Amino acid sequence: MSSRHVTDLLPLWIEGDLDARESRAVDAHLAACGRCRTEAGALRESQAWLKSAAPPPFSVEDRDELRQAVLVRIQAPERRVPKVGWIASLAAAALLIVFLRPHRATAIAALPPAPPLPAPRSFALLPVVKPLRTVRHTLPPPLEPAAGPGASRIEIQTSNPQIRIIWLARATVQPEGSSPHSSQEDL
Amino acid sequence: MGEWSAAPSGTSGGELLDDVVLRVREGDPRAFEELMALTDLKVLGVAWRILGDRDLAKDAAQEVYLRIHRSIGGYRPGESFRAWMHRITVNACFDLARKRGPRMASFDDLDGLDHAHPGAEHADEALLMDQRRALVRRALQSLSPAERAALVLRDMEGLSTEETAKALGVRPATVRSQISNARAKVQAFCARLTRASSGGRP
Repeated sequence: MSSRHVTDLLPLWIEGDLDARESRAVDAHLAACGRCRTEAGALRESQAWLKSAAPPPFSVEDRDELRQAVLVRIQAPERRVPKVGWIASLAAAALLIVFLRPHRATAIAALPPAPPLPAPRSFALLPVVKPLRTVRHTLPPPLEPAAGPGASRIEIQTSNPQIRIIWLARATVQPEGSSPHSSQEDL
Repeated sequence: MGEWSAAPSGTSGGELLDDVVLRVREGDPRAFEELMALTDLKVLGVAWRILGDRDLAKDAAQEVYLRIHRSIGGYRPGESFRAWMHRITVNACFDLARKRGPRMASFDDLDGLDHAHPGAEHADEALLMDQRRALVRRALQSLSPAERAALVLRDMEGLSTEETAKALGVRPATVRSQISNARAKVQAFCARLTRASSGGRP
């Protein structure tokens, strides 16, 4: 080994990357070869230059900018999720209103409280809730006082602000034998 | 060279980083900012040396932290975090360079460096240093991306050959071959240019 030039090994030898046996062989050759010593000196110098290379040119502002940009991008999806959730719950609430309002309206309409479904025979004797009339206004309706005891008033605002459905109902006792539907003719 | 070289793993600096990484894995939202504060200069520096451009390096660093945030669960405590992080950095740089086209980014303009040290006292020394640094950067630019990444991690960032291999996703033998070629090329580049400039000047 010591009789042959070690140019190929020098780049690893210079930083101690050779194993002990190879390293000793290079040492031995260098002691005897001026040309390889010159090569080694040049490599030592260029490695020193490499290690004294310019420090990266990043300022505190660059680091702040990087941190902000990363945090914004990291938090963006997380922030969007609650926002979507909030919108979704709003939509759910709107749906609930749509479905709950008629239910509540039914409950109001059921005033006075209806007893559990009776046997068909006695049905006509019990108070029956029947619609009096359905009014369709294009303007807010005038206040109509409840028409006596047992009367109910249900107002439903449609999505069109100009249209509100008002359901007026009154419980009446049906004459024996008449069907609840035929009573509509009384209106 | 940097906070990690000054505090190799095992010292309080390494333990601090390990602790922060652990907290990031556990989902501590403050820990990620701490991780960035501890590592951003390294990430920016490596990206800058590989890409040779300040703005590109900042883009790459942003991508690095997004990837770390996404895949921190894939990091196994006990393995070298800096090798894991450098691997993400190197990949982000290569991806960015690939996206920019076959030509790696044009290296930052170096001519302005002559005016970096206005103090007249050590003007000659400073000028010499600036010229050397410019030379090193041009020499780095002359390397292939893989050789450059290996040289930057092994010789400029002070990673071991094994860590460099992990960061590059190659065998240690490949790293040895890459750094051997890279060192020889840098030396030849510097020798050619210093000879040319000393010959060309009065």
